[in-house]
Amino acid sequence: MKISLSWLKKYIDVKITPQKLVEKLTNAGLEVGDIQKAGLDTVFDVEITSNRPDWLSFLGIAREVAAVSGIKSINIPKALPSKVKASMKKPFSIEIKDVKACPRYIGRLIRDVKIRGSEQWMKTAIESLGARTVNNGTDITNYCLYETGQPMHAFDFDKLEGSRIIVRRAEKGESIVTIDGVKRELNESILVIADTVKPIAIAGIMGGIETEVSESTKNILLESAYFDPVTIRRASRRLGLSTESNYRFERKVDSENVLFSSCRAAYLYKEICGGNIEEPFLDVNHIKSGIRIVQFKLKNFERLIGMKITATRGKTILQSLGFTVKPGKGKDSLSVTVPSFRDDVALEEDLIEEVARIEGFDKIEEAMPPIKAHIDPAYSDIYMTKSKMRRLLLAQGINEIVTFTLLSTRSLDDAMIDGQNRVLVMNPLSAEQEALRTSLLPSSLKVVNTNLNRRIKQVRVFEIGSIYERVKNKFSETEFASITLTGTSYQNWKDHSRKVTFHDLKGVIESLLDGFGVSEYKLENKKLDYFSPEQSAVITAKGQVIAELGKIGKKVCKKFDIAEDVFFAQIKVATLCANRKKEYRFIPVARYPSVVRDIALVVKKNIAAGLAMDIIKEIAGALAVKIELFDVYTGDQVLDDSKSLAFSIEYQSPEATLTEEQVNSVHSKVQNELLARLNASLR
Amino acid sequence: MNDKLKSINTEFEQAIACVSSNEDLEALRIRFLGRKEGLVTNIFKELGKLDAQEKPVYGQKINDLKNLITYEIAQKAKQIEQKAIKGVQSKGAEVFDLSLPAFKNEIGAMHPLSIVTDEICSLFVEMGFKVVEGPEIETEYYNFEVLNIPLEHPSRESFDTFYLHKKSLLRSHTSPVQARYMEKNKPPVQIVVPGKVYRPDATDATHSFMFHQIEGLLVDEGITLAHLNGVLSVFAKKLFGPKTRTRFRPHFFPFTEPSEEMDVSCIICRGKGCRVCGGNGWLEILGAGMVHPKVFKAVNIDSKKYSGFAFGMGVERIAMLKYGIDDIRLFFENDMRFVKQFS
Repeated sequence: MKISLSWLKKYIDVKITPQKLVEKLTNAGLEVGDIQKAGLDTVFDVEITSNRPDWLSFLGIAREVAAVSGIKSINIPKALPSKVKASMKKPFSIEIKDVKACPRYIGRLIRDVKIRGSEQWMKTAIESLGARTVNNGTDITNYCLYETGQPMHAFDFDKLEGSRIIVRRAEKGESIVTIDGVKRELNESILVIADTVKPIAIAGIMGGIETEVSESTKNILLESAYFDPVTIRRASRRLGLSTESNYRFERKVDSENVLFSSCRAAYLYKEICGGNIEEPFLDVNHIKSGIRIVQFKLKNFERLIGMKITATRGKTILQSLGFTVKPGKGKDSLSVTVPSFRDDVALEEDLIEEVARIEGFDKIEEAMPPIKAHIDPAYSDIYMTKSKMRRLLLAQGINEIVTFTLLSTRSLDDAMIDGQNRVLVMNPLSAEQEALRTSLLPSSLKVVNTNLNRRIKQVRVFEIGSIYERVKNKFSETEFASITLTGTSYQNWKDHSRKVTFHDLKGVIESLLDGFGVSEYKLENKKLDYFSPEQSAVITAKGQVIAELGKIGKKVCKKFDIAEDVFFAQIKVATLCANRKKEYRFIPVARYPSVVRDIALVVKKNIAAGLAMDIIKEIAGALAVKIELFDVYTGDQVLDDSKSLAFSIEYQSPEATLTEEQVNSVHSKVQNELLARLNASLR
Repeated sequence: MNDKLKSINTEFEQAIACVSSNEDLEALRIRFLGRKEGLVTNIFKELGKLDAQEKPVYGQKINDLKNLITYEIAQKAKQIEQKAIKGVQSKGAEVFDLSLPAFKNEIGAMHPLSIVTDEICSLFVEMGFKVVEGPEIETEYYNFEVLNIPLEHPSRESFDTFYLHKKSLLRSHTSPVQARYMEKNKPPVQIVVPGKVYRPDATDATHSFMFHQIEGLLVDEGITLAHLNGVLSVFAKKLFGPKTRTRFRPHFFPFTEPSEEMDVSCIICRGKGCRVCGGNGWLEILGAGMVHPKVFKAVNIDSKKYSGFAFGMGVERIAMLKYGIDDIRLFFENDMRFVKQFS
């Protein structure tokens, strides 16, 4: 809300400089954004939190300024008396059909007004806030809205049918042209003010053009009411219409200010428009005004704030804010009556905040809480697993990325991610954010594409994040790490660069598994839609899938506009965490020398190298401490349908030096089994 | 005999042509002239088998061969020596070049948001906090109601939300984890909660519909606002340097009472006033407050016995201030030239 300093000075004698005032208000919780000089005036833009509708007025701000600068009271503007003389005859009537939506409605008839342009002082005041002036009949209600915080409306009384105000729900099919000239369709969710024939205003939001006050208006019916915040909020959303008026009703207006503001506006009509206010006014009031008393105990203040306050100081602060303070039950206790404009104060904590706020948070001496030793670890196993994964992947030269978890369903389709179990957003901002990801693949490919387009050829990235699924009405979140490799392996001036392959990716994952001490795992072929059929696999441990990995298929690459080969893996964090080696025990380092024997086999091309390695492991058992495949050959030296595999096997025993005979015996057994089982020959 | 001498000669000529070092030359000498097994030495031994007539003839021939070999070895030795001297003078290709680019094992770069999240969490872990995570898909109850944010209340406006289904939504802040944790764990509670949050804001240089927050909560007997400010000031000094000053301003959050915001002295101008801090010398860093009695009531903790504080901050904002990044979108674009700057 904008605050004009010269307008504010009507209610309080501000003696300090604007800068000092801004500082004091900021320290009290009224954050001032923009300060602008406007001629002799200074205008502040104050950020008002949703709990303080009373600050949406000059009187509210003046009260705050009084409290922070130690001024006892503010100047309440002149108003007509608020007593109703019951004996007087009533020239109009008020009927409230929805008491919950409108518990209080005050109507007042002002006769023989002269409507014309406002006087300069009022024009200056309203325009200093950036608002528009219309005529004195309308400007008075706007002026009062800013002054007291109560939105009011002035009707041209002679245009009302049946001299009757009816507060009711709109009927389906009804419509109204509001003062901005827009025709608005109404329905039962919208509260209206009507005469006996038609709606004449959308309650609490905007008046109708037909009954608007104009220069030809002779008699005014002035409305001041309390409308239910939720009703007004819904109608405002429904109509897509937001005004200074509904902004205040939504935040709750002060039920007592409804009357004061009516009396204040009536005074101004009399002074400015020469209106005859001899007529009585009608106040239909269903609000039960209960007095709220909250106890304030000094020890509770100290308990929450960590600072002492005296009863006198507490009393002074609360009084300056408009609270009525009496001695409470027992010593060091105050009995505080909450004024009607402070509906936000209901608990002792609220009073404690008020006192601390005005006393100044800067007076609170900072302290450290007492130390508690915790038995629980500071990080969960899953958190530790993620940290370690991050470390191990960084160490392998892979960079971390963070991508959006919301994406388009199209990008999921493009990546050939199964369409089941998708989680869709009901109110997305755009199609680019309409679904939660069910895979880390699409956003990883987008990163590859972005970088390749910028001529960054080597993209080695990982991300740790969740995927989201919905099965019926159950949602689930599962954390994964994705690894994406493309381009060349790291190159230098001596060794030739080469393109990244499936086995680079396999290496990254196996190194990760090594880092977690996972030794029992299997890599199996498994065809997944987004991988090319030959290079598509899963790694399982104890029957659970830890990771899927493969080469992204041509079709998917094309959809993401990527010409390079891309290798992608997704590792399930929880499964890796569960399979990690938890306890490490020392195993004595072998003291006896080892013997290395090589063996070169010629096998058919369809024989997997892994199978040969499994046979060596099985036959040699614990004696084979290291098995290495050091060459794979196809070409002139072997038949077209064959390949040569060359292994180097290191034999070693933890108990004794192996004799020539022992090595020969096991090695020839290995050799014979390989030849027999793989239908192989020696090279 | 003639053939043998010829073949030794040919063998020698071939061998000496390949010699380029003194070591090789010595090996060659031993091979041909060695006293025990030298090829020429051995052929002398065969002289005894010949006729008396042939002996002097071949004796002469063998001697000639020996002299030839001896001469050529001596010549070669001279050549090698000269070459070595020349080599030293001309500093040829064999000189070791230290300046050639290194064969580096590249190290991956951590994303700046992870770096900052890790740093902030560990600063609080040092102060006895424990790191806890919670779900991103939340219910209205945990995102709003339990936190004293009533339905249809204007206070929800700062928490506009992506809805997934009836009462399911993407959390708009990390505060739901406070309530979830307090439901299961009784005081003392001392946690920090990092995680993703979502708000349907139009994207620009400072807004993103997905971003990261870190939430903190400490509940115990005798916890005060003074403790909150103490912990937050230590945190600010740890994160931005020991000369950092802090300022606390009253504010409003539905789930804390009293509520406040913390400003730190501008890390760019040190509080003098600059473009980054809008000229006033202060940067707003986080929101905080004392846990609202209604929140305690909802999670069944006695607010007469216990008190506590909570705070929350945006990771992107802190990372942007810390590194001088001027556009939040850079975090999610993942240009390698951006990501690799912060490891």
